[in-house]
Amino acid sequence: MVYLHLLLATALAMLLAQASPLYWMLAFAALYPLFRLGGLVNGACRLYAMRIEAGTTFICWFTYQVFSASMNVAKMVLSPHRQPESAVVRVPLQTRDKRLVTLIGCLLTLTPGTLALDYWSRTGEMFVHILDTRSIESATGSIAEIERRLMRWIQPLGGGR
Amino acid sequence: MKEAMAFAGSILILLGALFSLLGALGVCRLPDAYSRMHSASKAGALGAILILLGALFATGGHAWFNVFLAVAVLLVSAPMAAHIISRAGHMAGVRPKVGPLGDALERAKDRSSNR
Repeated sequence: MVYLHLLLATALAMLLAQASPLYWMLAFAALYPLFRLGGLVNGACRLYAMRIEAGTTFICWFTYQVFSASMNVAKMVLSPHRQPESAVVRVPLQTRDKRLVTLIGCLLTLTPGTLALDYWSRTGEMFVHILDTRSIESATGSIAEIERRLMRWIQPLGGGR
Repeated sequence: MKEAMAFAGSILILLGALFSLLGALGVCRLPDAYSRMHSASKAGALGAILILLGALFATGGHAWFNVFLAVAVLLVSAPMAAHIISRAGHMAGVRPKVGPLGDALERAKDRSSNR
């Protein structure tokens, strides 16, 4: 389904304008309602449309998170008399898929105040270093949110879990 | 249009340099190795990405493929490097300076080695 979408977007962009990335992205976005409509009759189409929505939401949310992470570090660095109060906490993960755990660890490190330190595949737990336990309301909550949003993208129907 | 692009490019490059500077300051100022990795991975990666986006604007979108590749590599490598360095540090016995919540990894390691 994703190849079909990519192919159609390329064809549309080349037909109407030229194959530059801006026009290509416009064509990609313009084809999305087509898949949304196709989802009314075809299950695979509906799944794909849901994936696009979840993926777009995730990318926007994550970009915001990366910015706020840097702002967080900047605030910490620039406030002169504030020493961070760090901790290493243990976070149980829902998924046991090693590729997903790697991805979650990578994304975790880029979100504010958390750094993936170690993962024990035996117990399915990730150890996370928290920069400042006072400014982050609940580390476990924020990690669970990453996992939830990522799973909505990868398995929009819940994936039998 | 061209001038606006150049202007946006300069602003982005300036912002990226500012974030890189903040990351470097953080490496100097924060107390232990793990907090320093926070600063180096987050602010450093965002600074580099902003500079690359500035280059994209400055070239008027010609370098989009190079910029895309470089941003993708940065997004993968920066957290990986921070994770590997801090994990190696913990294995080698560098203790983090922790607040009241403590170090769960150390406790878990102690428990599994006592067993």
